[in-house]
Amino acid sequence: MTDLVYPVAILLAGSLVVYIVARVSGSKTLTGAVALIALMLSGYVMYLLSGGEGIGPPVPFKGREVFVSFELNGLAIFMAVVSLGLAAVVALFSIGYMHEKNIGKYYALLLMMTAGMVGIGLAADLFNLFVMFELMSLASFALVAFEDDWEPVEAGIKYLLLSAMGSMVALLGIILVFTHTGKLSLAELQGTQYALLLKPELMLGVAALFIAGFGVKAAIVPMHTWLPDAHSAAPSGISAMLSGMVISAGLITMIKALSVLHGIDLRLVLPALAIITMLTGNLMAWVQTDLKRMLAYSSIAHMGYILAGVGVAFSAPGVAALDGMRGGLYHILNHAIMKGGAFLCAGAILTLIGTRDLKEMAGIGRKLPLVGICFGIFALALAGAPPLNGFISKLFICKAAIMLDPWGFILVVMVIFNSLLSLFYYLPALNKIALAPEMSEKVKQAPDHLPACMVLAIFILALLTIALGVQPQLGLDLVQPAAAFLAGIIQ
Amino acid sequence: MWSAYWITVIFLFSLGIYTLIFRHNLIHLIIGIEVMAKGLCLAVLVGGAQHAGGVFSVSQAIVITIILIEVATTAIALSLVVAAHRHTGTVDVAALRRLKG
Repeated sequence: MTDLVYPVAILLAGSLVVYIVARVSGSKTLTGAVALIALMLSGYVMYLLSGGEGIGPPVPFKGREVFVSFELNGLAIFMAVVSLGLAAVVALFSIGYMHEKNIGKYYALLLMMTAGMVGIGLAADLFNLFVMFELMSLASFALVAFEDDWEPVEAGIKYLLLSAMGSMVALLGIILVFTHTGKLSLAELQGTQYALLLKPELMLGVAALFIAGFGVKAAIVPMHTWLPDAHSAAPSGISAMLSGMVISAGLITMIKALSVLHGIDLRLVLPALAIITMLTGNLMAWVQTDLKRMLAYSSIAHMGYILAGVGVAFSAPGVAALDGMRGGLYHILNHAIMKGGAFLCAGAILTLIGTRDLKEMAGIGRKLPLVGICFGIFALALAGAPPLNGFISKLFICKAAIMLDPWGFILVVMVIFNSLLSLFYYLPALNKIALAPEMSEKVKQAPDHLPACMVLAIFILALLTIALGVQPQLGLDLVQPAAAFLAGIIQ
Repeated sequence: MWSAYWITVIFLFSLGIYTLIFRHNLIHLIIGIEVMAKGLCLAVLVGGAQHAGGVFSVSQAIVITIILIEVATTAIALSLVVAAHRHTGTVDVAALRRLKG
């Protein structure tokens, strides 16, 4: 009766409807409104499926075959809420930001990408997980290269080639598991019966394939090279989606895939990768002069923080699994809000003055106080300033990491050190955009108003940044079931 | 008997990776990804055939889905190559080195 396919199917059907509406009407406001309705409808169906309030026991999808299955659990709700919410804000922002040309394709691809992310949360078998992951990836390739200019095209090709290679490598891992057990269902593979069929050496190889393959999308450091190009070349709304949710969805896919490997020892690997990732991201962000590129490198650093929480959960399953996962997932939620907001601010500034160069942006906060103040809030939250949400989730991550015996201390020190490091580039940017009194030439000539929907989108995210900072319980109610589910499956 | 199939799988997959690493023509790179995917299709079939009880029919369905995903990826990749050719006049990856830092 309650078919779990609906939330994904509504979004996919919606992408078709949106395209037709755009072709018939040619109006971007109407198209954006239809896309918003599709997102809300999908969210409403998700709410109905979850039984209205709270999250009941997992509801398995009555699959006719062995290999297409969905399961409703805390993680699915978490992914649906975060990705649908961010997509709705981005859809609202894009009504003002995008041009009328090709608007139907833009919203259709945006809905398709969101469908993939909702599907990643719901998927209950390895291959279905891969298909949803690819659905998300395919839409994001097309969205990165949406504007026909040399920069988006070059970034898109880099992104596509690296991602496609990563997908193939991860698929090889899935196929190795399938070959040795004959099963794909996550629940069955997590049971001890099939775990014994995988030899320890094989598990290590499969884990390497999963980390390398899905790690390309999650921008873990040796595999991160596509990210700064793709995030800065994409339309700003899409940068917010990519940075806020797509890379996190890649990491969630990786965790779900790794959960089928029993008793695998990732004690050193994930925390070490986390440290390298956050250091590289912050150091590279420091030297950037392009605002969107700086934010993109900062996303790599934030993936490092998230990976630190997740790595702790994998390293000490008995003690700190729940705490580590909670820190990691809460940071995913907060990162989606604050980095999404920062990219939307960058998009608003780009619309006004037509450049992403930080030097040209001096004084924009004097001209448009709301954008300046909101960017200030996002920058401080990203750097981890105390009353805002970024601080709370970093605190959770540190609290979990300290429980990890010999390595925890180093991890905590690195997280704190990196937060300080990120101040070195967030403060100058904040100073230029929000505080600088004298205006540059371009800012003087810029118009002094923005479309209302863009301002509203930025304002919603800024409000959430503050709300989750002063009242963390709001976010924890969402994160806790998802963290409990993930901590349960990684053993 | 299975080892002959597995050797073919490994050969196809390595050929794809070799192409992706050492070739400079964008079309060749896309063909490399295709070859990797075809190797994996064979791997799914061989892996499924080793099990009893309807596993082989699952692997047939998986192969069709993998082919579907590959076609979509290739279509997007080729459209990007056309766009790159319009902007740079060549399909060499060396022409795509303007983004740095």
